Amino acid sequence: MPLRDDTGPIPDDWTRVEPGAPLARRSLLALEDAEARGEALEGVAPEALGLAIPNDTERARLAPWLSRVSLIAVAFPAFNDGRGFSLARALRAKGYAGRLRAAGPVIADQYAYLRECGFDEVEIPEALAARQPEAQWAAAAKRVGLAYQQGYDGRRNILAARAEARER
Amino acid sequence: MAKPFIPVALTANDLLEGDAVWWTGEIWSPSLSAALIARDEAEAAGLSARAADPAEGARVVGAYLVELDDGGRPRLRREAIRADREPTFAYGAAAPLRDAA
Amino acid sequence: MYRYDEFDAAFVEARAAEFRGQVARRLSGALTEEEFRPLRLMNGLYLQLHAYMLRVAIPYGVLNGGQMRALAEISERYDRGYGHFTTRQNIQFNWPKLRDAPDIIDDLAKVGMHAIQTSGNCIRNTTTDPFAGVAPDEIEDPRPTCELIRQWSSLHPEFTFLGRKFKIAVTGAEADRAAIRVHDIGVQLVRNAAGEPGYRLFVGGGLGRTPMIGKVIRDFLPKADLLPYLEACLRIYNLFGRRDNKYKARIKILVHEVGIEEYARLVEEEFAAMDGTAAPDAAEVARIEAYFAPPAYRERPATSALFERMKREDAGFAAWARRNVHPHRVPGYAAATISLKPIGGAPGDATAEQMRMMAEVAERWSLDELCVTHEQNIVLPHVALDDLYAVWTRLRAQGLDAANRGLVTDIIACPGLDYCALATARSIPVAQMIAERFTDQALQEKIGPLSIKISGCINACGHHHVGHIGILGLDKAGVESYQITIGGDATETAALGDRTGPGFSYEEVTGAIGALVETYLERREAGETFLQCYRRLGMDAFKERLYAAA
Repeated sequence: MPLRDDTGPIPDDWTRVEPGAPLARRSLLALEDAEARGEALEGVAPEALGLAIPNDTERARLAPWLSRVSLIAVAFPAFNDGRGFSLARALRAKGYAGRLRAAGPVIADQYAYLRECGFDEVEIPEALAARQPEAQWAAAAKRVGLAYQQGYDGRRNILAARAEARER
Repeated sequence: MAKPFIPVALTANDLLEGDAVWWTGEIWSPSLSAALIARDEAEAAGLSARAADPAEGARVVGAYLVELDDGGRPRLRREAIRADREPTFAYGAAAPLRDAA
Repeated sequence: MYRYDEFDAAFVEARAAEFRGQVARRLSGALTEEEFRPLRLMNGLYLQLHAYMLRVAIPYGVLNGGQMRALAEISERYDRGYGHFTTRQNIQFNWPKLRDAPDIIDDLAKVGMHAIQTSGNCIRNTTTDPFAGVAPDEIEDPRPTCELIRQWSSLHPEFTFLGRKFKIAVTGAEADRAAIRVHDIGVQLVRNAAGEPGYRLFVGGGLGRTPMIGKVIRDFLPKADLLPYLEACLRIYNLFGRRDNKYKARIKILVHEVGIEEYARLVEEEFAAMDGTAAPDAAEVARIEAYFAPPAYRERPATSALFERMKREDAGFAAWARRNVHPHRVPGYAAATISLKPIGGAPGDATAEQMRMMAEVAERWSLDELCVTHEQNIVLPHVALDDLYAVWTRLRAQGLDAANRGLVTDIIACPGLDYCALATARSIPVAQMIAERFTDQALQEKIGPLSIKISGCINACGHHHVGHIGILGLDKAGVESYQITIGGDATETAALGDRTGPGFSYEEVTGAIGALVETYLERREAGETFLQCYRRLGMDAFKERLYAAA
């Protein structure tokens, strides 16, 4: 399914590996599967390991994995189910430094919010991508403007801009 | 005994204008009196199919069937108010304001 | 009052441009109606019974004359020459077209206004005491807190797709004129034992189909912690609130189901782990507070000979002064309520001409400030006693001199079946019938404080649960039926009304209200209000007369 980040469409070099199946070069595993594999994953480098999680995953279960994986893909069952936004921010606040992916039918209008909450990339269904082609996502990414909140997208927020203006 | 069929018309709101409109068989009209009235199950199914047609989403929002009485008026008060296209009281500059006694 | 700086202005302009693009993408098919709906709602655009409806944000109810004038112009250019002031201190237009909506949003932006988050499953317009900044009993002006919350909540990336809408109200006084106990979160400015300012926080209140009174989650929260704490409250709600049933998705249900102790524990845990990005710096707080510094009042004597004389000479003015003029903390000044409940009108409605008149009155006599109240009236917060008669004369010329603030004809009503797609019964005509019955000014004053609140469906936009008398319009097999509750209260002694029993027909409901009022007048003790009388006597005393005829 189409994957993009701030640079535009990107190839997906992760493989969604079925429970118990042999690992790929970079494996995206369901959390239950990763837990079940236990010691078998101990030697696997974080660069080769990712977790796919539903948006109601208990955060305590994720804690032991935050330094062991380099991708967490949070499922969005529907664009208007906003739990993933909070989950992402909570993971970033906990110090998770790997990539965060929003996976599901999120719409271009949400791209800025996703970025601010700490997501790096979105993976959307083909039908949605056909209706909202890359140009609309690029426009949404460019439109990311002023926000009152301090997000994880590295952008300067309004409060910081005000402080800077005061300095001048 | 089978329940007698209640005639229905297909209504929606115009996407750009927002007002209530009725399917005439050819166009969406603001007037209920112009509506195509389904008088049996087959005709009602035809209207339902029109309501479900994704192409209509480019013109109208929220299509649904409204039950009519023998005089061609909606049976429910809500639908009657909607078909009349106005609240039941005078509003805005026409509101009959008067002093307390 | 707060004025947009370049950053606020740029923010609102960017949002207006984004909305224009969203409308275009809906028309091109890039956005489905299902996707477009929450986006337009987050810009205040509903689709109602007859037309679209645009709800414009008036942050914590405060606006100036120029903004009121702009609203009047919008109502004429794009609508039908009037607007409806709402219980959330906003205004809504009942007849805009989608094709015009981007232009309306642009016109609003020109005067520092917008429709952001006046609907949708996000944090709505923060509301407060309409006498904020002038009330003598205030501990602290709540508006800087409201403005902090406005900025923090505007397009908050984490909280724009919540399970359901989220409403916050703030009060700066012990006397609660902002109904904070029936909000998702209620914020009360308090001082602790050491005299330091802070907040008491209530959570999980609300009306709707499952009304609940909010519970205290923090007795004292230091001021600097407010935004991070709110963020923790919202995050726990967003993560744990129910998503399986939209009628059980409000925070009140979560708090009710897990219990206030458990909810508080989760919030405190989250709060302790916050990353600190939400707290504004002291300079920003000071910048906001400066906007709410007392305006340039003139030094005036505490009393006004002109005001006293005109009260003696003009009985109509005297009645208005008794009911609609309120104490002010500055000598020689008063706050005045413009009642939007004239007999024969729709509660909360004002025509373009009336809006322009209110703008002019505010500019000339109220230091260019107005405040929309959650009772659907307008407050002029800074009128010199000397000027009250001139103000009243102007209001009178436009039919807005009703001397009924807080009386039986000062009725709150939702738009009901006449406008609303969700309603099950009419509300406004019921309010009009009841007002007609109590037209007599002397009778109204004899009855005294009595709030009647009418909702046209179970969603309770007319706040019927907290009316001294509440009326809920339902549909019983195609016929409008009105349930009555009594004893509701939205203030610091908050209570939900008790149902009297079976409902009344549209034709019967006015007589039923009459029976309740007569019972009160007959049974009351000296100085007792309707609410106090009900609390003393209980339901049976009222029920007897109410159902006697049946």
